[in-house]
Amino acid sequence: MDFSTLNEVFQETFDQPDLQVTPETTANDVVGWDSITHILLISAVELRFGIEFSRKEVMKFQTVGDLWNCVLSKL
Amino acid sequence: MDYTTPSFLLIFLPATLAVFLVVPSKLKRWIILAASLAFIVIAQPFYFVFFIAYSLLSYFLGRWIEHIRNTGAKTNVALIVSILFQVGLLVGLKYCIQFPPAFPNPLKLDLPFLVGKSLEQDWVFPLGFSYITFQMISYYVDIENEVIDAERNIIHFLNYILFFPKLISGPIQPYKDSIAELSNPCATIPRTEAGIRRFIVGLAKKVLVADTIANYINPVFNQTIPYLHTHQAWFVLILYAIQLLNDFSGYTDMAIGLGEMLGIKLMENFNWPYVSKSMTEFWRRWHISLSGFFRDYLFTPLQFRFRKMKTYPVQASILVVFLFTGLWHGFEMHYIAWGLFVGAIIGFEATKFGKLLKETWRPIQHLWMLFWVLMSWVLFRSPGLMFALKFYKSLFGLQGVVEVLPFSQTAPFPVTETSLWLAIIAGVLFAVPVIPRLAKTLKVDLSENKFWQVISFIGLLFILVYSIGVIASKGPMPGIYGQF
Repeated sequence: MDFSTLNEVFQETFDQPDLQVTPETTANDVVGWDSITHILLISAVELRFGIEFSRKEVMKFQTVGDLWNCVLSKL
Repeated sequence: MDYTTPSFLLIFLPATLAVFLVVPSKLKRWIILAASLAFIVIAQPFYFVFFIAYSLLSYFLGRWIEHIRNTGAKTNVALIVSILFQVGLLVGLKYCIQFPPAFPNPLKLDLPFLVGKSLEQDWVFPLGFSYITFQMISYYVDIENEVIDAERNIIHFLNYILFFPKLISGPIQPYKDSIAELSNPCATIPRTEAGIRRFIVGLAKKVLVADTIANYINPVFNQTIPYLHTHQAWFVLILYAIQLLNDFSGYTDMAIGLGEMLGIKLMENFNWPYVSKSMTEFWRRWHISLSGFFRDYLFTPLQFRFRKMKTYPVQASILVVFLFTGLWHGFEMHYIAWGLFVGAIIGFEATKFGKLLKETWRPIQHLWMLFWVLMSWVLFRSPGLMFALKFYKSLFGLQGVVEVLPFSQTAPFPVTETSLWLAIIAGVLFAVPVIPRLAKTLKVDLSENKFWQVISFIGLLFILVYSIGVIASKGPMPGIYGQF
């Protein structure tokens, strides 16, 4: 499991096959990343990596890098 | 005291700014605190002790949550107690305003010469308290979530919650976005100049546009039932949409301008909401600080909590959020109905229909948004549900045999009044980004254009003098969002 797996989750969630995210990407950089799709994304990441986030962790995510570091800490 | 009172414009603001600019940097935060306390003393002297006691208690609650968090114990109880304290006070005070208790306010002081109007009411809502309590809730939740640490410096804390530019109409700015400048307000000449410009634009929106339109349409809403022809009802409703935006965004401009003058950045609250293509987008552009608060501290936690329940629809969270949005404005039924109405439309847009809407012709999307926004303003502005129902009937020609009074009996001046049409034109220009887009099309950088700088300086000077003249002759009108 590497960063490209996370990128695939983004592509599937936002239905954008060409989407490329980096650790610096924020919600403002991705079309359609709003408060509704944010939770869909969180659920999809949890499912793909077989992990579970806590509310505190989710509240602290500011960038894709924050999300990815949290995923890595749980693998 | 309001930002549009002569005492604020001619005495309080110039005096505060003069002292703030000449004192050394390390004293600036003290001047801000002194100005905020003076603002409260002048505006609501009977609440001064309340604000001090409330602030100190709020401060120690934040420290308490942090202390428990740092020991590794569960913070749930401390967080719930702190939030209940904030919400309980807010609900209690709002309830007292709506249903005044039989016993008189023992601390009632009447100082009309200071505040510019008589305090004949026994119960007055503490200035900006709805905005302050929401900021405190975000502060506690962020401490609990380890996003921030509790503020230790009591001066910085008091400056965060009692900062006078935010007191009348917000914005509801989370502490995490305010930390940087609270300890070291940074004022520069260009920043002060930009702040003054922004303040005058806000003053013009409020005094010359919103108040002029209000003089015309308030009598309609002061009737027991709306005596209106269909075309008159639409005209009044569109005018209200222009008035509301200019009133509220005018206050936001004044708040941001004052913040810039005092070296503290306040967040934007509006982003051209009337150019939206859906109600969902409208609410991302309208009262951004309130919708952002509900998104981060209610919607996201709700959605996260129920994310694994296949049967839990996103619409449920949306309705809860907008029910609370309605309640934040007041406990009256029309506010609750307004919140649920907006929530229902946004919930509908969260279905597959939303995707369909995005694929339709853009003017249709704009019309869709405008129609529902206008429909929602009927509930928002009406004094009650029955009035709103009759207003809807007037809009769609269903008012039946209701006697329609001439405008001369429901409005203070005729629609041919020049000031009204000037206010409408200016109000529309402030509501849609015509000038910025024109400048972009013509590839003109207004901030670098010397001709524009001179013209706008002269224009703003004229607007300032004219606005003060209007206030002096007609008296200041309180802002719509000041009452919340």
